[in-house]
Amino acid sequence: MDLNVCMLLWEWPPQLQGGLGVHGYENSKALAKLGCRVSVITRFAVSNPVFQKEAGVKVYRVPERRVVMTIPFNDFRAFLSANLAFNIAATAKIIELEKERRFDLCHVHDWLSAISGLSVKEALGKPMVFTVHSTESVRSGDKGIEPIMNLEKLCAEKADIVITVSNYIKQEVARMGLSEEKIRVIYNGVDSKRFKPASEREKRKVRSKYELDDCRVVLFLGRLDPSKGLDYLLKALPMVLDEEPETKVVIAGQGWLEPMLVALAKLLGVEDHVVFAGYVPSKELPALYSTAEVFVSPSLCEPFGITLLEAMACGTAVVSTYTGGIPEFVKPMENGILVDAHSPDQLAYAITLLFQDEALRRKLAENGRKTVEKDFTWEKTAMETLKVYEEVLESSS
Amino acid sequence: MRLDVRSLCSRLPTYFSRLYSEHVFSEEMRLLRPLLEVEGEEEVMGNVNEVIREEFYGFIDQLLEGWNAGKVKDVLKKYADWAISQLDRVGVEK
Repeated sequence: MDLNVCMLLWEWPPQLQGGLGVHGYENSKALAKLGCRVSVITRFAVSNPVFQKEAGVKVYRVPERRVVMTIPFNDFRAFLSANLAFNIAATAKIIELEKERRFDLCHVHDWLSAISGLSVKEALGKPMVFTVHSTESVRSGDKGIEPIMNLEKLCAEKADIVITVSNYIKQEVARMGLSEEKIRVIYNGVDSKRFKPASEREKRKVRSKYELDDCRVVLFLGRLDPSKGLDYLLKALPMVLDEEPETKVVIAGQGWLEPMLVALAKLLGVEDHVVFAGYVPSKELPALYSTAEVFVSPSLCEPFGITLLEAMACGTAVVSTYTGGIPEFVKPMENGILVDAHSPDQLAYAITLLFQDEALRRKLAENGRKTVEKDFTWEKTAMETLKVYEEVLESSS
Repeated sequence: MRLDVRSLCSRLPTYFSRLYSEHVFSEEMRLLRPLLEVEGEEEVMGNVNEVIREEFYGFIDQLLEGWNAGKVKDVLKKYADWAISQLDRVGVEK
């Protein structure tokens, strides 16, 4: 089906900070490969063009021109004002493009672009698909901001179909009072041609860059915030070192928790065994994943967990927690190990087990790669998204 | 205060939650503020939300001028009204 899709995304490269951005970027490209004409409306980014075409996807950044407003300063007021300005400018851009593009539907991602999607649906009568990557309630541990939760609920109610990235998020959306019949689960994917086991030469470069020498390497990659449970990984490290003294944990990513994690590593006396790698460019990630013997995601709350899939695609054994959407694709002792969240003891045991049992580590790593190749590709995500589009258009025609 | 809203839009972090805001968001916004201010201070007289509403209505009218998009304007203004009504629900005055 030759579809004309308007994709509303708050994140697009270079502004990628989480699953929403990766999903939006990869799924848009994969949909274009399937023959969809995808127009992405995203937010303005300094030093980036207001229009570009990338892998068959047309990308428009708004507001196109400088917008100056009189707004008394207050954190939330400034944040919501900027977001509202984006949503208004995005709607205006859709109206402009609609003259020639004749969009079949509008696809909204999380609350950040909900106002534009709702406006287009109400004013132009376009069908609307709403993908929920996470909810405010999940992000904040049930202490979310009420206006954001209200907007999520309104958008879910008005959408023709709601897509969630895991069954866990499906249940969260259902908790808003939405019928489960209206919700489809479509998992994220991984580009397994890019995320694949690296060569020995590439791995040596990583070891040299982060001064890992011949140490056993544990990797974490992600945003450094409390929901990721990194303090539990650091607390597990002294126990791992008791068994494997030549171990280093690489913590890749940025976030406001970093100074506290550095302090905790010192307090635990393990600072010489922790490398804070900061932001790692996307092209260096496959080699970094491959260098690690064990990838650990000690999350306390995770809507899905794309980094686990990326590590699995790179042939690295993974350890994670029984939280959120993770158990939907990490199967204990088949393609990874799951432990209870908030448990340094169990994390230490799992890491040590994988260090010491090479056969198990290899088995989990091989099965992990197979899992990704079989069930978690962006092509599959795009095909299932396309089916949802067809379903929406059939029911609205 | 005169703010460059597009610049703010470009520089904002994606992740925003109460947990995040309580610890760091305020500090990030404090650092951002000098980058966003333009043309000096302007005193807001009267109801703050009324002033903001007028700004957004002007923005909507300006963007959609000449597009024969009366219904879109009305719908956008309705949602803008709703969003502006939420502005004082969270956040601390700086």
